[in-house]
Amino acid sequence: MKKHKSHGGEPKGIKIILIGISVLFLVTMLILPLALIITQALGKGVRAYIEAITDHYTLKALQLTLLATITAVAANTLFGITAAWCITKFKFKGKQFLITLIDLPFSISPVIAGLIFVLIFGRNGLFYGLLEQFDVKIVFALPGIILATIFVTFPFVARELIPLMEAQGTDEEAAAASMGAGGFTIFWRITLPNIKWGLLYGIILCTARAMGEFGAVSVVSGHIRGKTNTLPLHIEILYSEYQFSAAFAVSSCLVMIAVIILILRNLVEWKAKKSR
Amino acid sequence: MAHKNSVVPGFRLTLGITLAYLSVIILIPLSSVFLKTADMGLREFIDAAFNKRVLHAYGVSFISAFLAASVNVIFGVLLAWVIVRYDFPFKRIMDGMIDLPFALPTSVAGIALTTLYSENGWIGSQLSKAGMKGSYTVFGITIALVFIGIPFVTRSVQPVLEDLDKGIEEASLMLGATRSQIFKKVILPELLSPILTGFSLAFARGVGEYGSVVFISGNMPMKTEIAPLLIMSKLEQFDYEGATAIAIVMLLVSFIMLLILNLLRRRTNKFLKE
Amino acid sequence: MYIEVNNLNKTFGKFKASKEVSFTIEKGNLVALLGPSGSGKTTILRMLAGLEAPDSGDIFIDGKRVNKIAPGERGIGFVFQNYALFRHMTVYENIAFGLQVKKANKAKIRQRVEELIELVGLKGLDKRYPHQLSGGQKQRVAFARALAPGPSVLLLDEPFAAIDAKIRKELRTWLKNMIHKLGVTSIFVTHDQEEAIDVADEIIVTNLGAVEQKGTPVEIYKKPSTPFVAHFIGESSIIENAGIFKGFKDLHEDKKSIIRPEFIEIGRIEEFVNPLATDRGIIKNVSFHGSSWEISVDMKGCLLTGYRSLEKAPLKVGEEIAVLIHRLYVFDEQGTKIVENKLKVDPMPVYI
Repeated sequence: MKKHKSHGGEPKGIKIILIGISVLFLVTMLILPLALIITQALGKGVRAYIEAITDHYTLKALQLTLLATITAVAANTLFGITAAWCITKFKFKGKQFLITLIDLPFSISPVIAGLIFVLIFGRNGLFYGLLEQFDVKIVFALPGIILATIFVTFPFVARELIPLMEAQGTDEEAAAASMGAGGFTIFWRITLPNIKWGLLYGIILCTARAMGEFGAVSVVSGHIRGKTNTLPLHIEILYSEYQFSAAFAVSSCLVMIAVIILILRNLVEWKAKKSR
Repeated sequence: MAHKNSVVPGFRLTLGITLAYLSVIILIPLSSVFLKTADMGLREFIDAAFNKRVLHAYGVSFISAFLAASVNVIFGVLLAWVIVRYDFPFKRIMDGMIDLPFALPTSVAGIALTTLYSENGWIGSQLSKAGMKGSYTVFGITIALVFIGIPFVTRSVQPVLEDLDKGIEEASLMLGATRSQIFKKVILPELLSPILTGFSLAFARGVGEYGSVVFISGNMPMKTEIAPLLIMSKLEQFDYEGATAIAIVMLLVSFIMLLILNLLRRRTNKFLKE
Repeated sequence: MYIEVNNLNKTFGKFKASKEVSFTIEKGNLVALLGPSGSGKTTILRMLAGLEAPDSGDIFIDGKRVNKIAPGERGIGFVFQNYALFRHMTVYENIAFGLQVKKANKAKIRQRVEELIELVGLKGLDKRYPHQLSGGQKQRVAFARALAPGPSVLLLDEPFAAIDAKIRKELRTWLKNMIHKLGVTSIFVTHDQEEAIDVADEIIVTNLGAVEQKGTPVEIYKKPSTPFVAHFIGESSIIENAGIFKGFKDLHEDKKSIIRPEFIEIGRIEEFVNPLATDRGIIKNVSFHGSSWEISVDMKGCLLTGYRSLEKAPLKVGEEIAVLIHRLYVFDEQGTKIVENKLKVDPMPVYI
């Protein structure tokens, strides 16, 4: 008997073809690169692999990546919450414009993101003289890397929170305020429990992008080994020095982190759906 | 700016912090590009921003980003459709995997794709049998940008498809429409807005993308050199003016394109409540 | 018979949505499928439309078995509960859709759509989008859209559910008149008995996936064939053992009976001509019911509800009063029986 269901109404053949094309696409585009990374990483044996990932410069680069990531994520999380609070709990003119500004880094090339910090803080830059006086280095040093990372990951937390808090409205916060609760108490006791999964989701996305950022950091870092080299930059250097298996070994670590991030992401999304 | 009828505290504080942070991280640094350009003479600017090599690089960047975003529209809609509408083994894993390009550092993706599509790579060797080249061609650049852009269209279309009222399909079925008519006339118009959103995001990302492209492109001037890479090489030669001139053109073109896409999206959305 | 349904069965997983559903409908009739939510009425409608396939059973329309015919080919118009209008199309485009997909000629489409817009009273709104319309207007568009291809049967799923109570009655009358004017055989699903009685020529009462009874509104009300129907249509109290009441002594103990408010009279004992036919009860609740008092009485452990004219002396909660049960429904395997109070007719004259 022919079934007329409301969806999945296509004939079985078409369904199988569509699923087949999708799977084929994902296998060529996503699975093959991953498989390649793993095989290349282990191409020279397990010992070479372990050597590559425990190399002094690799560990240094990992340290720097973690430092930059944690700082950028913390800064953008605090900002994201503040901005989302301001935008969703109050009515004011220019709100839409503010949201557009927050989204801006999404449409700016990471290379340009790096460039603007070089223009400002680099030689011939606006603040170069001032920085020289106090002997502070920003470009080709850690602060530059952090600034560039912050710029590139700027929108993630705020973007995740704004629609969520918009949907939640201000009734609960207003009720708490009318009972005399202060701003911080309201946030901690009322708002945060409502948005925790969305916040976590934003933080995870932000972390993923911060760890992997290449273009912007590449511009401001100066590629000083052991000093201003993050993991993604380190991979580039290894690769351009024809140390392919070392490059892929380090890559495989980042693949693992990416997979963990993906699993966390899905877990959080599932939790958020359940709590709704 | 005034806030009305809110008893919730913190308006001044949060607005203040938001504006200050926004200025320090985004507005002031970004304005440097414009200040730097204003310092340049018009001739100098035109020479730097529109010489032959640069024009070619813009072309490669925008065309490959456009192609990749278009490919991602097709596969993005397909993936969203398959995930939302059908049941099959490992669907959950497939769904979760779609964000991989987002979570994977671009340089990792870059070296993996380059090796995969190089002449002795798994795919590249197959391509060369067919007389095609993968790595170090515009085709290779497009592949890298497709990889980067996979999540955008899928993730914009997916929730809309999930929330689509099943009734409208049944209504069309009752009115005698065929499956392909239902898809073309009833479902696709509903998806137009998220498709455009996804396209804009993928396109913007593609135009600016550096990490995954720099390896696979081979950076041959007048052939596979992309605009972000040109900025990079100007910077390495301390030619800040040249870099800035290219950057400002890219920024303006991107903004104009996004503006047009936004207007288009608004037009496709006119049937929705404001 | 225009529509004939024989022994339809349908299960969703373990849930039996339809059990041996059979009924017939005459051409041009407006029929209500009435039942509580989850009683399987929408499933029946969707099987008729072809949106669900029955596990077994036959559906005939105009003598033709339609089970294997695609939904769009059955000559059925369907009005969805939430209208399911195409939001990206104007009123005109919505109504024209069914004609366009069948590649009708443009001039004909224009003529037909304009005729329908006129018919449903939406003139001048043809360029509006659904979100610019009120609930009642959307309903009219959905109605016109379903009618556009000229169906011989019209199915409506809870057509008034999403409409404000205020204009629901008005729209109800409008729809009834429109359907009768067009003469299209129509079935609508509702859980609202008042709506069914008000609008339908015939009512099919469903419960737990099965048809309980089919008949005109008056038949269904006056001769309910099952306790469920009697209880679902109109007000009623269920009595497990009516034999305890005066005048019904010879009823068997295990027979279920039902008493409607209009079957009983509540008052002070001196108000009754024949006090011997009455029982005593205590008033539990008195509420004003517009044109009468609604009074609940506890009588021998049973709670009965009845009305009392505003003209008579008001009664108070806790007061002991008399209740005369004129008649009640008794159910057995054959159906309903109306049993009259044996003591009501004064027996004395016979003996004098």
